[in-house]
Amino acid sequence: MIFFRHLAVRLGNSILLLLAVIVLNFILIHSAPGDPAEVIAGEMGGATIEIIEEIRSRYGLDRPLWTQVVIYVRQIAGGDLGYSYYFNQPVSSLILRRIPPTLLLMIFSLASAAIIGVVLGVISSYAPHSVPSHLITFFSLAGYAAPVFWTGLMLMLLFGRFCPIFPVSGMFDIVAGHHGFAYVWDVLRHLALPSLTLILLNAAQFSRLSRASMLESLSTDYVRTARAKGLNERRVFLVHALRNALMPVVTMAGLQFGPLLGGAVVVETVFNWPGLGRLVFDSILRRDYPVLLGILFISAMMVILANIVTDALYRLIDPRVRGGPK
Amino acid sequence: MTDSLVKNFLTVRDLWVSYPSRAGQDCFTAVKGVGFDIPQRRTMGLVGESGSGKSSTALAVMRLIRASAGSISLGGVELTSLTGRALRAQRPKFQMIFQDPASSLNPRQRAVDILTEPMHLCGLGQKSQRIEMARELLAQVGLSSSSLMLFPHQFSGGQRQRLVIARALATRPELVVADEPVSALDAAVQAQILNLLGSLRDNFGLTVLFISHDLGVVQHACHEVGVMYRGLLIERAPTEKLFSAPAHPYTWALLSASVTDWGLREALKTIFGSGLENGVAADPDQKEKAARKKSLTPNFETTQPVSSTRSITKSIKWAISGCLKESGGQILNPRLSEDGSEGCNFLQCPLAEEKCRTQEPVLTEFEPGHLSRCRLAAEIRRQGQAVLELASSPAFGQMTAAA
Amino acid sequence: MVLAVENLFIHGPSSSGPVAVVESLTLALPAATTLALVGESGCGKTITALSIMGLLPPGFFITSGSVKLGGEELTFLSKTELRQRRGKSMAMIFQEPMTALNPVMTVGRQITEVLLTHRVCPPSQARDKAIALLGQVGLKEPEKRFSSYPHEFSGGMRQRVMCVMAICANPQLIIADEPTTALDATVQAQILELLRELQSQSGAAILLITHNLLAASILADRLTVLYAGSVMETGPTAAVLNSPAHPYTRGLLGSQPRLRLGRDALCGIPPTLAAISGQVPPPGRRPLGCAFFSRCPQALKDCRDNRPHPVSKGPEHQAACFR
Repeated sequence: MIFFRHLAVRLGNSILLLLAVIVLNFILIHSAPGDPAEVIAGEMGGATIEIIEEIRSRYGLDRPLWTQVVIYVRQIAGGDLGYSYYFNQPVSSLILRRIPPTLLLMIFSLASAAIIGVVLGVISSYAPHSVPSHLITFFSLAGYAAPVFWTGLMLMLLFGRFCPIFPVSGMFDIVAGHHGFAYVWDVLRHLALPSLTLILLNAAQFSRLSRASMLESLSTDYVRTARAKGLNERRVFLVHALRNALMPVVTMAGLQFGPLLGGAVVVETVFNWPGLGRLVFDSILRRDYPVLLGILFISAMMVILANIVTDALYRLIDPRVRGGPK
Repeated sequence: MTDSLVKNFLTVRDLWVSYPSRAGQDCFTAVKGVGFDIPQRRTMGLVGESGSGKSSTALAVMRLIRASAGSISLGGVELTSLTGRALRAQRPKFQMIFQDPASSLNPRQRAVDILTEPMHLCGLGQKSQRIEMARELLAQVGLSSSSLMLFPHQFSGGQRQRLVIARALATRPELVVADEPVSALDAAVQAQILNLLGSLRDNFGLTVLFISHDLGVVQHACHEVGVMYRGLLIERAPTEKLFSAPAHPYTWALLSASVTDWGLREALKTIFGSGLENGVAADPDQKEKAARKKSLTPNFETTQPVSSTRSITKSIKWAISGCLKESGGQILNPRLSEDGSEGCNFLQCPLAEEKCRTQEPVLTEFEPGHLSRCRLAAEIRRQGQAVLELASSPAFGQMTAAA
Repeated sequence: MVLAVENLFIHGPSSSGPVAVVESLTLALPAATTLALVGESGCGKTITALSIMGLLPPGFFITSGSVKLGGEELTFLSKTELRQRRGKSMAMIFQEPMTALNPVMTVGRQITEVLLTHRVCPPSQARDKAIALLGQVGLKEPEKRFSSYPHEFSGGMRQRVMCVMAICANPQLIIADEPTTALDATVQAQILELLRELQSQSGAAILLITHNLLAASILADRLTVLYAGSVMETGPTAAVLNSPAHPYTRGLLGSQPRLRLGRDALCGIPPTLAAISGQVPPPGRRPLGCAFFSRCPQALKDCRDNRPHPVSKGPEHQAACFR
């Protein structure tokens, strides 16, 4: 009961947060240099001043900023995210088409990075000052320090030129069918490199955190009690120490959602993955404000949701947080 | 006694402390209407189990938490209504010593900073003089001046507590509230710190509020003792009177748990039960209450009997009732009836009568200087004295040696 | 003899290399008796307990001496063999009940873990046995307690759970490392009596580690007083308390505020306790002669350079003192 009340409060706060995000984004983007009307006119192949004025009034770009904000918020509340300048489609349908590939990439990468990172961190904590541990630390840090696009390009080079087992571009081949197992397999093959780029970036953080968390867990009193009870080392490690050590990792996984979305922009652009990230990149170049705002709104919503879910998950895992003490 | 002529330095009246509600729970009242006076240069002890509200009382007196009701006045100044700058102006007069020296000192501050910071905050002395004053303080608590530049983790447990005491004295306070100052220390070090506190109290003329769960320590260090149970002050008396024979069953239960002599402990438990909270069954459950209502024989044991020597228990009871008959009394028998919520809150009392459950117990002065919340205070005291007499007799020693 | 420790030396790490933490420790513990190992912080009593259990922290080693459990030499055993005996032949109860239990596991599961690991009973009966044991140590509503988490218990209740975990496989030896130090004075006697009751039911030997001499006397048949890693005095409880033969023991007894009741309470209480001045020397800075020399009110010149050997002061009562 307390759990649901808490959830309701969180949701209420989130709505306020979203509103603030929309308004702020709107103001920021419209303060950027560059006139969308001229860009659109340019795309059309040049235009006279009258046509530019007409474009401007059609898209409402000649009204004062505050009025535009209010109109926009009212629009969103009604579910209409606007109309893309460039694509000449409703923004919502544009975004909706692009969400699944991005979600696929992100969730797959996050989950894999978490699992791989935790496994490496646990192995590293088993023998904290050994050679494998140092190697793991070294490669994690390398993956974290290298810029995302560099990693992506290197992987592309490696697998495109020297070891062509994974396709380096796009999400699927035109020749493959659009249904059935062949399609799924095809998508997975294309998923390999983009997700590998993101995994190399994130696994480092998970492995460092889980290593530190495990080492702390192993030095607690209850682990000493478990050893005193005569339990074998594997049980002590995996059942007693790991369970407690995972809690900060869960929190971090939730927090990583936001940055991962940012990383996805670069990765999708490098690998031509047809997701939101690619759309963001293109829209920025084209000054396609409605699409940009729509994407910002959707991604803010996704990040907030991810954090709520993480928080709820944490409360479920840790019995101390769950209910009040007796 | 000339106590009334001595000015009361700390006066607490009708103090209530509640903690705000956590999600899904009502607010918890830790202290319910506690009141006491401490005359100048005297030490008052507050004893009770964990959760009895003694620490909350101390924190409320120190204005570290807000009391929900009541008045606290220090040397004539009413503290409860002060806030902000006015309160800060009074702060140097009352300081606190905390229980755990390891966590109550800032690990990133050196000893000299720990000592001079309070001086700086209340504007005591010039900057150049403060280090000299810090050095003096260290000498007074028995630390060498070479410890000035050390960090807390470089001291041993006992030394750290000396540093905590020195810091409390840095502002030349008049009232010191000591919240379990020796509980976290080894038995051997406790004696050193208790001696130190005693000599500092005499040298500086301090008034002390001493919180502890250890009755031996309280007996040694305090002039007057108050016993708390679940937020209520249930007994208050000068130390000698209280320890010669308390007048409340709960105080007897506390005593019996602290006595190391087995025979005496068995004797006390037989009559007064071991109705303590921590560890076993805080509230008797419904079934037990119903069972007690039905049974005609008194139920002295409130927990599962740990000792298996029932014959000893019987002999003790027989001997005591013999003693009491001579003086015209008899062993009190509990006869519980309806469970009233206005009654005494000591639910596990082995001596409760019907009236105890329906009448609101009030703290009354049944003997000059000795206050108790129990209706049967005088009886309890007499009964207890009989037990103690019995326990010190040689016949008793023989009886228990046979166990 | 359940536990026989002979001439045990344990070395531990320090900034100047390995130093002796425990020197020449000898203990003998028959079945169904309790020996209290008494000493201040830093005297090596916890390290001794951990060395018997085979749980020495990294950097600490048994350098010489013998530790026999039920006749079997523990120092010759491999890690696996030691682990098999932990929980089954010897069990330990730790000092801080607040942190000694796994916070994310129910109490019941932590108990059945022991039952199942050591095959005390078939898995189908493990739950019932655990619930029965919880009731036996005095916890009400044991079924509810079985599915509760440690944070829902008070300190005294948690320590009772620790007792259950220790006894459920019927060990020969129970080591209780300061089981009551973190608890209220009012609960201390309860827990110690619980241990005595459990001992009388199972016949286990108890090694009680404590810094409080008087509290130890509630439970112990014999006392061994440890100071700075060496044994100062050992003997039957009554003998050591009534006629202490070593100045350190006398100092410990004199320095504890004792509860006076009845007429004793009316006589004045001395303003100061007879405290022992100074502090325990840390390992590595112990004197060549008697460890207590620097704080002893009755020290002789001899005491500084020569270490006293245990001298008999009565039946089964020895003290390491020249006086």
